[in-house]
Amino acid sequence: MSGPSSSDASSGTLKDKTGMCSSVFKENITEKRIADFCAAIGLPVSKEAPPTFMTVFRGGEFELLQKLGLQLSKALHADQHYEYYGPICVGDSIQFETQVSQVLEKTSPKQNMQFLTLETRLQQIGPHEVKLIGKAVATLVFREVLEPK
Amino acid sequence: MNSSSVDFHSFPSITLETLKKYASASGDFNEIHTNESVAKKVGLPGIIAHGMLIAAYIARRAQDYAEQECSLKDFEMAEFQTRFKAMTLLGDTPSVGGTVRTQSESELILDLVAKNQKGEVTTTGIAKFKRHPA
Repeated sequence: MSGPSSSDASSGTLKDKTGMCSSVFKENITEKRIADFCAAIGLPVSKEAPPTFMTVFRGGEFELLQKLGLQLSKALHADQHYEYYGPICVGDSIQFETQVSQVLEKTSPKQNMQFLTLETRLQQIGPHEVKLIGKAVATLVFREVLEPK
Repeated sequence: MNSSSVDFHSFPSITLETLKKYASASGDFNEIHTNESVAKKVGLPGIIAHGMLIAAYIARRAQDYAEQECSLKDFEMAEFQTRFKAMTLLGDTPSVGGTVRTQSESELILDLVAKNQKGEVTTTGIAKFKRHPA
């Protein structure tokens, strides 16, 4: 009985989770971290991270999905938006957290769709100050095909 | 040659090795990108590429374009937005190109798309560059 009835229950609560925050994650950016990412997308090694490197900071997204009982394998990535306020380089100390910024539901006779917008703010921890260096906004879609009645 | 276009460049065909490498470098271990039976179980035709891998190719093309235009030397990416329209499957060969929406003293905006070998648009990307504050 994993059909529409169980999803109705969870979709009712999902909207209420707007504003929910993940834990704060910290990562020191090593040379290897950026080099591996560059190699994976076919770029020469660099000290400065390429633009889509921000995707490595998805720990907060994964944590929120787990808390919301949503399975990553059922998510479709619909849209990704990045804003850059400064470069991310080898040796940087980064902290980030993710928030559920919006939940939209669309229902048709054939399917239920939930659009989940997750916003991650990245900060660079300096010796004297913490600086906002980027923002990542992901929209994930969870789709459930309904059985014909 | 139209000065307002960004020529299409091809990227290597998507292999399982590419996706495994990207999974471990990005930390996205969603098994639909590496395990065929998991992909099929959730209703996909087979293993699909990480959308963000194709987005990385779009961002690469945008940066290459900005670097090749010497007038844009002091420009850096301020914003990047990508939308996933269709899946990229194992064996597909993406290519990326598009148009220059705005080019001025202070700003460059590129509208790019990634197509598969059949010419279908799989992913779109908007890259905004701003002049580096001197």
